[in-house]
Amino acid sequence: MLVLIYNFKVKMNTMKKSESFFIFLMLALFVSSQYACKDYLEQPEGSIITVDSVFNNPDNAMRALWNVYATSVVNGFITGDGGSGLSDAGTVDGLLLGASDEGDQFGSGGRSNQFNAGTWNANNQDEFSLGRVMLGIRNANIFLENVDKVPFITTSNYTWAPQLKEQTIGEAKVLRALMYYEMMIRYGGVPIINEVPKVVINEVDGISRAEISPLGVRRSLKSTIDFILKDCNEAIPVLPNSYPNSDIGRINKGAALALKAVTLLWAASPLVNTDKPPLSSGFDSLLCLGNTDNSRWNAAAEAHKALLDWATQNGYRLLDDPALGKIESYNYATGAALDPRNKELILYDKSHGQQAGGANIVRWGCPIYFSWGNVVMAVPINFVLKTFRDNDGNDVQIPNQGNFTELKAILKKMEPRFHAIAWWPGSQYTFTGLMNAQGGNDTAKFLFKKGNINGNFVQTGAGTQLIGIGVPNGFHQKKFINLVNANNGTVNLYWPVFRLSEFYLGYAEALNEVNPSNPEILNALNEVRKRGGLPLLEPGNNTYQAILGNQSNIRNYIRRERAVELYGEEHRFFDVRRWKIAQDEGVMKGQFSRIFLFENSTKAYVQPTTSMTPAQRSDNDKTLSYKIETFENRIWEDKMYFYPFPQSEVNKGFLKQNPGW
Amino acid sequence: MPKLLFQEEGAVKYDFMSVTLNFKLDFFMKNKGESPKILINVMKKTFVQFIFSIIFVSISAANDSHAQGILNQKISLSLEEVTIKEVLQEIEEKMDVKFSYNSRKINVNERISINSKENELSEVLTNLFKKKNINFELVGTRQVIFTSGNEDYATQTLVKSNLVLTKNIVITGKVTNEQNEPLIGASVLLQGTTKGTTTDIEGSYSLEITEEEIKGVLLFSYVGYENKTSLIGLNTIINIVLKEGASLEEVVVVGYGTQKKVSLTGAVSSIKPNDLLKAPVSSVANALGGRTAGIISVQRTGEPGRDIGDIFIRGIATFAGGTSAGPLVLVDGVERSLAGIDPYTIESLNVLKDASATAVFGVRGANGVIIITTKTGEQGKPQFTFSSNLGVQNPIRLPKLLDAVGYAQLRNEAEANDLNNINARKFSDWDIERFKIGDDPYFHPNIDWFDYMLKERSPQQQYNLNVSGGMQNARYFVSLGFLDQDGAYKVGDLFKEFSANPNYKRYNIRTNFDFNLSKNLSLFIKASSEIQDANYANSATRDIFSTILSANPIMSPVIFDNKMIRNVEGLTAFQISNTPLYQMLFNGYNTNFGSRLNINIGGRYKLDNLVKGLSIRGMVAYDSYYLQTNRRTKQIPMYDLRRNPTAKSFQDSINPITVVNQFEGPVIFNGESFVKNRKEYAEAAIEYNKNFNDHGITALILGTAERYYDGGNQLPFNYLGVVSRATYQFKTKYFFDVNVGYNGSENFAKGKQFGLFPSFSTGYIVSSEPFFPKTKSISYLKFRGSYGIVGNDKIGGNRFLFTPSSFVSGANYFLGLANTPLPGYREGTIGNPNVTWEQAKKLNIGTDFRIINDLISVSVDYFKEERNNILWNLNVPITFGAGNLISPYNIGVAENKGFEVEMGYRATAGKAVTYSINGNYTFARNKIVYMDETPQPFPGLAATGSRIGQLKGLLANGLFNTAEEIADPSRPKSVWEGAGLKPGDIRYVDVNEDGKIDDNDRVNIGNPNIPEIIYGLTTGIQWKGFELTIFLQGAENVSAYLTGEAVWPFIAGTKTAFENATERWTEERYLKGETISMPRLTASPEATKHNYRTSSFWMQDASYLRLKNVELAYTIGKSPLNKLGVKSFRIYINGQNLYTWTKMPFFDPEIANSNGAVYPMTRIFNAGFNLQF
Repeated sequence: MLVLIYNFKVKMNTMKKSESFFIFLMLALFVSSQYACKDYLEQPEGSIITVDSVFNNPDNAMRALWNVYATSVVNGFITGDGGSGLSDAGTVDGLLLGASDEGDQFGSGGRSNQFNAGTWNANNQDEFSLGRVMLGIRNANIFLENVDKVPFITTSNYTWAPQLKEQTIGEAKVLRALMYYEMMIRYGGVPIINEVPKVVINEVDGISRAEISPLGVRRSLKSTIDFILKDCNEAIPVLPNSYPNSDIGRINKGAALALKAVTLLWAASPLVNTDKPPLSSGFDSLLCLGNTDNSRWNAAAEAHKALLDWATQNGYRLLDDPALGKIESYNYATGAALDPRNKELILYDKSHGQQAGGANIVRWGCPIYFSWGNVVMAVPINFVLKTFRDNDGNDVQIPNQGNFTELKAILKKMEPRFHAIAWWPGSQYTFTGLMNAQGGNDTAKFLFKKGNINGNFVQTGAGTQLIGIGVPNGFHQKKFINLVNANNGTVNLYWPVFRLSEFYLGYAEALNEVNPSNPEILNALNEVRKRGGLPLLEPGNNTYQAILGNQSNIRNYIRRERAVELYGEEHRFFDVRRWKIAQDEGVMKGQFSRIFLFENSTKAYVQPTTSMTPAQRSDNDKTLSYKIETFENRIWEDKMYFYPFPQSEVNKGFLKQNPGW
Repeated sequence: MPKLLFQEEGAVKYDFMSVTLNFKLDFFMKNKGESPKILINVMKKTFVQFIFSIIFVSISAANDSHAQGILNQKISLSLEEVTIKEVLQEIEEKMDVKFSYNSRKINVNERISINSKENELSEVLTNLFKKKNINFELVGTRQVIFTSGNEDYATQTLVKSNLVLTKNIVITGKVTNEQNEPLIGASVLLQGTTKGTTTDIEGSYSLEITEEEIKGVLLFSYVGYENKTSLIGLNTIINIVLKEGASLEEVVVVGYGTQKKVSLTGAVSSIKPNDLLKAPVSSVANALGGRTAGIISVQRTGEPGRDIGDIFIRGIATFAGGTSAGPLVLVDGVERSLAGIDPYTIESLNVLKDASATAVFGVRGANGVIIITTKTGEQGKPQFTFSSNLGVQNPIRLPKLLDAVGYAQLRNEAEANDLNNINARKFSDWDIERFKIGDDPYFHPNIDWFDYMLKERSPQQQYNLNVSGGMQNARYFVSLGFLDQDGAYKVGDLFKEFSANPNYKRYNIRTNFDFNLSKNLSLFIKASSEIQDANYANSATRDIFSTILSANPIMSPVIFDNKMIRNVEGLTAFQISNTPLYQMLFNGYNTNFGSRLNINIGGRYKLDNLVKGLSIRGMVAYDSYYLQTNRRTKQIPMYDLRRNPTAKSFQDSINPITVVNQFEGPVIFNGESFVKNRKEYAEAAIEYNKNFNDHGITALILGTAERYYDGGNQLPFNYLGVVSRATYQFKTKYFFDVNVGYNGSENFAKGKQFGLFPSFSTGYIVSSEPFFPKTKSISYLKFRGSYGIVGNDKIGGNRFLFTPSSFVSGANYFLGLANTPLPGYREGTIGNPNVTWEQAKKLNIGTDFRIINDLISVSVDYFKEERNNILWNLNVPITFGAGNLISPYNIGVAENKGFEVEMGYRATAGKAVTYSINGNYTFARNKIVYMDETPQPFPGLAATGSRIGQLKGLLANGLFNTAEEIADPSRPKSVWEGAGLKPGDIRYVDVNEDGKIDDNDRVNIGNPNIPEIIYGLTTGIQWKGFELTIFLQGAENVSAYLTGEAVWPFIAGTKTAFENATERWTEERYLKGETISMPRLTASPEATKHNYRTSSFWMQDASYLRLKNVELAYTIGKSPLNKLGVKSFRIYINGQNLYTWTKMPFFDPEIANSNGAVYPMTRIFNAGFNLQF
């Protein structure tokens, strides 16, 4: 090479300028292309945020924690955001209540009906996104794995100190445990992923195959429960009892205690506190605890007591404000998380901002939007009759058919919580603001069936939204929708994850299994009854007389009270499984009935208006009759006690499918 | 010494890169006095000057001021024992003068000593050559030419002496081939001069030379024939027989260089540029299919300017998606678009197919390479070629629509089927009667929407004028092209302000120059510019056609009384809100103005002085592209049509009245968009090429660098590489090649940017062995083999996947009494630090042979490729938590194999007729070997093991014909049957035998949408001046899965229906045994319903055979035109896509899987002529 270059030089001396210039150019090109290449292919430094830059200061690290919140806290509303990675635990287009005996979803898009028709399976289960839960767990693991990197410094929003670090670890662990709880009550034992999975590429037979580590095979139910309890137990000591006003909504000690309590209550329940799951597959430890052990009720009772004691000490109590009245107290307790009167919500979800009038809960939930969302949430009459009572705490009877005026009279006397959860024919809208445009505050117009008893559903109405078919099930579910802002239709959605009433009922339930004569049972139940507007369970009360001293009657009573108090809050669906009563007639199986109105004479029912006199209104009502009829025959199979894993994941060969699916 | 005439006119002087070049155009000095020629000469002169002034704007043509006296200028020199040459070089260095001489005639290597002190240059020069009878003269101002006073005239003197010597000699003769057929247009050149001519229609030529030139040598050449030389001497008639076949010297363009054709060991095939010209299509890309083995092509649409087809070399071997399977296209050595090239400028088009040919392209070569080189000037007088083409395009293979009566009747039948009520109907007999009679044309119309919207004929025209020529040291090729193609919309011009009809105009200019600056140094400049000026409807084409397919024959005409109608009140039924005409016009129009500039500048320097056979070369290129799309809309006036309310009778009511629906608005600007990109490219190489004794060696080392800026905020795309090639041959019998590409791009992580791509190949010409029997049956036999590794970095368009896992702003969580939104940080992407290119391991085994006395030549190649590292999304378990965030990994593996055959036959029949047949056949089949697919419950569902693009669907087994078949309890139930099936529904096979028909019964159905087999057959017959060429092209193993409007009648109850709807199932038709190709009719076919699931029932065999091109040409022999300087005049008519044989009832078989909403393919009839002068 050197010789070549030397020769070049010699030759170049004898060359013409032009030629030597050319050669120089060529050489320069060649050399520069070979030696200047380092910079040529450089990718300019970008502003990529890596895991290290997230965890190198407290502000950013806290953003990682908010991400764990946003992807982990359970939300049962119809937000339509499930696909975006936010928590959204309802079915795609309806509340989970439509998938149990609490409710029914009517309309072409009503996918919770799959649960009622028995057509849900490993390919179409869309109530629960395993992928989204796994994302929440991954985010929690990312936080827990990297939080040690955060330096103890002060940045604009946070001063990082050992105490804060431990607290955030506690928050992340409770959030992770919450995800595991949600998985467990659906699937049983699940894969336990407590580190961030990595991609590993292995060369097999000359082909690169991807695996992840850890792979995530299912663990026993006991391991899963232990994992949840461990996270809770580790979090309880480091979490604060309360937060300043700016941070309300974060995981506090109560949330950890609550999660522990519900986990232990589930573990004590008949579904898993046994040596035999509903369907046996040879892998029973995935679905039950291997024996029946009454001390599990003891543990559950103690955990509930710990939570109730904590609540008392920290000012948590059921909302029972005379100024609001019984109905609105109950309403506010459920959803008005930030109302200063409400000290009942221990943990709620706030992964969504304020939603405007078009919020999905309104679109799909509110009857006037029926034609918009094509789905309505209804309350089957048989559920109402078997759970709710009248004002006096007595069971309600409604003849199979009769006239509208009579029906109205019966329903008017229903207990306050019924009025809080349902619109019924002739009831009033709680807020008139939203509905005024539709011409009055009488609900009958959208809850009746025009024509005769055999006619097609035809809805008449003043507003265009009302043209179409009416609510065929007669009672329209209104819990949560109630809190939609009267004036502009906006709503701040706070999904109740842990509400104090639940723990009075759980405490009573667990104590009854340990010792039915423990007076604490009735004390706890009366807390709930008092706020609910029912007479207290005390001597002289019919219910008191009926259950006193009878464990089974107490149990049934507690279950009934739970169905009423926790209506629509994603409890009933799991409670009937936990109690192993889902297969009973009228629970998840059998005939479901509705009530509907029809015109009984040639005289047409007219739209009620505010200008109607009571006499005119009464005359108008007389044109209608009602009838109770079966609308659905629901299917239950015992495999449904546990969810199927998605078939596409089972096909990958690492997840053991639950039996029967 | 002869006096110099026209000196200043003849010598055009350029200054470029400090190189002085004296460029002389001899033709100005010739044949003075003959007026027609003078006219042409003037024309030529003006033209050439015009072109030059365009190109060399920066080049000065001014005269130097110190004109006269260079010979009188004084110079001091003192040199001992140097050659005369060195003396001259020294003087050139010191003075602004250039010397020219013929070194063969003038011995400049003689050593002398010289000592001059302030002597005049003329004196120095005189002394230099004293006693040697060497003269010199000043040409122009700075050039001195030496001429020998001996009888041997130097080259440079010939031209001048031509002017003064009067005694000329005319040489005549005839050039024929071995079959004694005249070769028309063969070149005859007096070697070492620009003097030459071409043969005429009879193969005859005549060339006038001077007395002195009889000592010269004539060179005869013709494309596809071996060159031949002949001494002139005292012969005045020289007849020459040229031998056909690849000359041993014939070279083929390969990657980064050329190789002798005989020594090729890889798989390279060529398409003759003339074949490309036969196809009257706008894009070269659409003329390639079937022309040579190895090209698989599909053209999906015929819309002007948007009809560029897809090309795959030897099929597809990757499933990475996007454009990742397309070949690398190089134009003059730089990656460039195939779209806008003027076919008249193409010198050669070669297809590099195997690893041996493509390894040098390294990371970009795996999908094959198409190399196009543009024409360069050839030494000789300016040769003008003018081509003119006028054609008409005609949309072909449009679906045949049902007429109104048929539509109404069948729609009634569908209604009855759906409601299960024989009396249910949408149209009364009275309505049907109106459709039939046509007496109520506005409210009972009968419209064929294709007929209504599309013209039968739309024009196109294409012109090209080029000139090439040059002297020994400067050659040029300049070409001007123009193409104008009109679209098929009949009613696109309803409003004066704009046209929605597509129009595509393209202007091409190319100027290629080659200069020999000295014996060793040559330079070239290739510059081309393409300007595109197109007009389209602003509505997407697919929307327009989708609306046509949404329309039905009973929708009213949309023009009444020259008014455009939106709604027709009182229409029987089914007016869609967007009529096809409205869809075409309401969005206005857009203009696309694009300009593309491509420039290559390069040179080569031979270093023979240093090492014999060594040379260096280099090139820089710059491309720039700009496209502006300007959208304008207009609120178009629209009316509603009503029955006349005052009408007293039906007769009166058929005359409608119009009511304004929408008022007219002005044309308004509606935004614009731009595409801007540019590319910088440089390469430099050292080459070695040497033959000694029986050995031949070539070697190449080349460096490349490319930077491409794609506009926007994209970082530039960079490539950097080294290429090397070494070939060795022994006795032109044994060949060994090694090709290595080493290159990389910024798209891969540091340390993993570069890859090495080696290939080895060998060839063996058995027929050259002494032991090989010299028979006529096998005259030539060669075996070739290659193996190598090539890369593909077009991995689905992803960039910088190696970037570390990144976090981005995530969703808010809301805390506190104020519901404060707290933004999160969530994982954005999870990086793949090891991302790399696809790797193709390619094997090629081939043979070339000629049999029956060279009459038939055959090439056969077998190829096999394994493509691994295909970038594919991981299918990780859900427990990963964020599987969708993982960057794709290089885990896919596919294979592709097949064979290709090329065959040629050429013969004569009688004296005057020659004919030839050329055929080629390509078969390529791929298979997905691995793609990280979830194991499927049934093997038929897996993509792994299937072909790329293989559709999965249910297997149809005819229709249910009787109620008994439906009622059969053993019949597998379909999960889509809803209320139950009926006779006339499709019967599917329960493939997995689980007793039900569901998605798990899907299997491979049909073939992929890109053919596995493509073949072409060209037949040519020549008789006297006539020439007929027929080109047939076909494809096999290809399917089209058309859905929606393309096959199903009455979608949504209102959409179109084709004539095939009459072949529906009805009990009556079944019992009569009539052809049934359609299930029972319904008014709402949907893909989610039983009959319309993806299934083999709807799969169509898209194989076809096309009469792709026919050309009839006549070359006019002696004619008065010759007197005007016309050398050759060829007129022709040709046609494209003349006829198609296919099983597809509607639509062109090259259509993509779709609902048929595409601009149709066109048939083109074209007439043109080609004039050389």
